[in-house]
Amino acid sequence: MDLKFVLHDYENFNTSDFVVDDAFIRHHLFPTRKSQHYWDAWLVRHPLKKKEWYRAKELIEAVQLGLNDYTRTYLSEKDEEILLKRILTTNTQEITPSAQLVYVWKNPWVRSVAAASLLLTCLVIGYMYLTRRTVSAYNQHNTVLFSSAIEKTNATSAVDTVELPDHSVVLLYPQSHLSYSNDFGKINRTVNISGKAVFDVVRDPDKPFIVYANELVTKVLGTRFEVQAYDDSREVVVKVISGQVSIFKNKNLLGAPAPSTDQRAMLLMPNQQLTFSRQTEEFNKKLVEVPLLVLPPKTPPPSFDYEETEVASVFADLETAYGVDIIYNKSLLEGCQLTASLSNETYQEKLNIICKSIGATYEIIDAHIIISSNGCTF
Amino acid sequence: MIGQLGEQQMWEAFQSGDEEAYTTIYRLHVKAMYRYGMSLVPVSEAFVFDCIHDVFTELWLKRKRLTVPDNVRFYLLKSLKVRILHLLKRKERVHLPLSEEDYDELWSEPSSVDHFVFNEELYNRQDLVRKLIDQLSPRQQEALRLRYEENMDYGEIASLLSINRQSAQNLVFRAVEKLRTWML
Repeated sequence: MDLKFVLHDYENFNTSDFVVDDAFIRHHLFPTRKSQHYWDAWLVRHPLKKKEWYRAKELIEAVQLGLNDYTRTYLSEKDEEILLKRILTTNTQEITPSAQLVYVWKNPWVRSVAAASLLLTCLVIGYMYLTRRTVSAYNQHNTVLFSSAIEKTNATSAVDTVELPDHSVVLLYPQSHLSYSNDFGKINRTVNISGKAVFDVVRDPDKPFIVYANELVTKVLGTRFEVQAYDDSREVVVKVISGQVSIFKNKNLLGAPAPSTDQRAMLLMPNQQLTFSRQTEEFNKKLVEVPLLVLPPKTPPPSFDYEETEVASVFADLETAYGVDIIYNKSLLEGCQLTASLSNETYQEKLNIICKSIGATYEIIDAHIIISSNGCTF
Repeated sequence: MIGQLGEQQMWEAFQSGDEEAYTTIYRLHVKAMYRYGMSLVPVSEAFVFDCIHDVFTELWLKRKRLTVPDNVRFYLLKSLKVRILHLLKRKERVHLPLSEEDYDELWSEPSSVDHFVFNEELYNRQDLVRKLIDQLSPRQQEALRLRYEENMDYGEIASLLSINRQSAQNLVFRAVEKLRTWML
């Protein structure tokens, strides 16, 4: 932007004239050696105008000071990158119009129809912008829960690890957000998430750890569990890996989302998962797909080596090791024995082998395993 | 700030499909576009992001047919404002019952402002000027931002506000005159 001085009659300029003069302003915004030289010389030649000139300079500085709010509307580097990525992604989907299409465009009738549909599209888009879907549950929670929040966003394609001030650890999955209060841990431990995260919560019975995730509120003391609550997904899923959690529906999204005691909480045990349908508002409690060993600390896992062992004690081992409920008819299965080594098998494989060898079948209803058998016939 | 020649060469490189030049142009101007956009539509950051996105993707799509702008910053701010107004379906009204100048004159009530300025010992200078600027009409405020922060000349301000050059200059002049008398 090179300087081009319009030959003004600066002799008669007062303060305001200077302040609005293109060359004068440009000099103050982006001084160059040339402009500096020009105004230095000018001031030497017009000593009487010095006062007005400097007053004008001060006024420009004052105006800039007053516009501070504007210049401080600062785009964060993170947002700048996200936006750039989005733009470049759109560009790769660019469609080059074919020659045939250009020919069609010459038809005036086609053009007027196209113009009409374009106008309609604009109206629809405009309407969609104006009536954009209401603020997400996540954003609502943030405004209600925290006066000033710290937000972690995982915009990468890998899982991110976030350590909270109480040393609880959160594995934040891609496209997920986690917010917590500036004074997290002082009174309570409340976090708000959108997306998917696994929580490894440090035990602190005095300060329950509370997770807001869309319509669900999960309250724990010290456990490991996973929450999936994407803004645009149809379900909210909570899976317990160890410990136990209680979950209730957050009735009042707009008001203070305080966990009230009159709400019926669902208790979730390890290897159980709760799915909440956002559309029908129904809960569905079941076993996770791949149950893992869940033993209280310092308890050695069962050997899973069996030599003519009563099947009831085999089931008991499974129940303690995986924290599942197995329901069966005790008297029918009396006398059923198992000889097998199941230490390397997964939960599912163990169950299959056991049932096959005693001639039983099983089904999973809710979070329970129901064994059906006619008894052992040998 | 890069010189005009460099900026125009950059533009031509982008037109020939150089993605790096395109990205550089984005980085040089997106902050100004963002703050200008946010000053026009403070209620929705997401909307401003969408509009900036649309401006840049359209540039890419039409790159071969574009001319080289004299002032890229101005060109981008103008495109952004056009996009925002287009989406809001709220075109600048051409026929106002009052002329622009009359309209701006109606805005402030100096008596209350005078009173408020004299009680200003408690406030620092920045707060004071900010409050004074808040008293100006939205168009005057926009003109001040464009003139003293974005370094747009009067022709460019005129284009952004859909008025003629002389009106743009008057708009800034009156705003500054007011601020000057209030601050004396």
